[in-house]
Amino acid sequence: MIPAAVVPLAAGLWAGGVTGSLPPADKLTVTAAASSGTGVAVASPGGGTLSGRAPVFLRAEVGFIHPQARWLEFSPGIWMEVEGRVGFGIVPRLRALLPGRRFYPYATVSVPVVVAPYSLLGVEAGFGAAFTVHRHLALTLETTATTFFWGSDLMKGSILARFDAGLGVRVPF
Amino acid sequence: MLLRHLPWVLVGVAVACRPAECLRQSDCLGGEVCSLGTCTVPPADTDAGTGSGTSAATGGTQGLVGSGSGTGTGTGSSGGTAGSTAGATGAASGSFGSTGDTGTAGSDTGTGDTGGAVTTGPTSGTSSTSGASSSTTGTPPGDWL
Repeated sequence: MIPAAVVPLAAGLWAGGVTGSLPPADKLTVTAAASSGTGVAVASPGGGTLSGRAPVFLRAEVGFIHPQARWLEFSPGIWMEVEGRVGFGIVPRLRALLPGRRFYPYATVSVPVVVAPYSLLGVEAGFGAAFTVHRHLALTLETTATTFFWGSDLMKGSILARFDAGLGVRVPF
Repeated sequence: MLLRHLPWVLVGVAVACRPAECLRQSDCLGGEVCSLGTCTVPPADTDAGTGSGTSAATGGTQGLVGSGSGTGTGTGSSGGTAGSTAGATGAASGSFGSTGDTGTAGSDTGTGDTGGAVTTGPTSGTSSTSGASSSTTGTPPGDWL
């Protein structure tokens, strides 16, 4: 739980107004998560289809859960590529959680925006599961599919798709 | 269910697609571009446009009658990538018979190259002289990329 003083800020960020119908909350549940992974990248320039291994990425995010919609989490985060290059992006994300104590699956949708040193804009969907190993620690395993359709890093006339798998940790406060 | 099949989907995608040297621009070294899965150095357009022209003037002022003609050359630069404008700007300069002559430049001819396509075209321009020289500048028309 977090102090009420930061609730207005968090609520303003929370889901970008998606949950505007919810009443104001005195306290939001906050989580932190970090993960890393890699996968397969596919591009389609000139009608052909090319593939390669996707660079290793790191992801860190902070989640906000409204007490009256505990199935939904807004998780803005940062995303970095750290293999062969360094890329930095921001990833606003929504996570839908299925209830569970030791094991709870979830699905995600997000809009990754890579801003430096190159640019990429895309959409991402994924699913995963968290395994609670301690009251304040869960391990996560998730897969995501991302399509980048705009940016300076794309080949001319091509989109880029990534299919990633990642391992991480999740810490509820 | 989906988790169980996902590895096989990924393997299928990896096998079905042709491995590529690069999929993104950041896969390539600086100075290279990723095109069709290959890092290549973009062809440098070293062509430069050239131009030449002549000018002639007749008549005179200040009570003097004179005539003159001149020739000149000029160069233009071509852009390194197709689509950039390049031009052959010809400059013609000449000396005239006497100070104070006025006249009209003849014409310039320029050649330029953009992205390997050579374009030629006449360039017309006008010049006015005030003294003993004239200059002509112009941009050649044509199918510039």
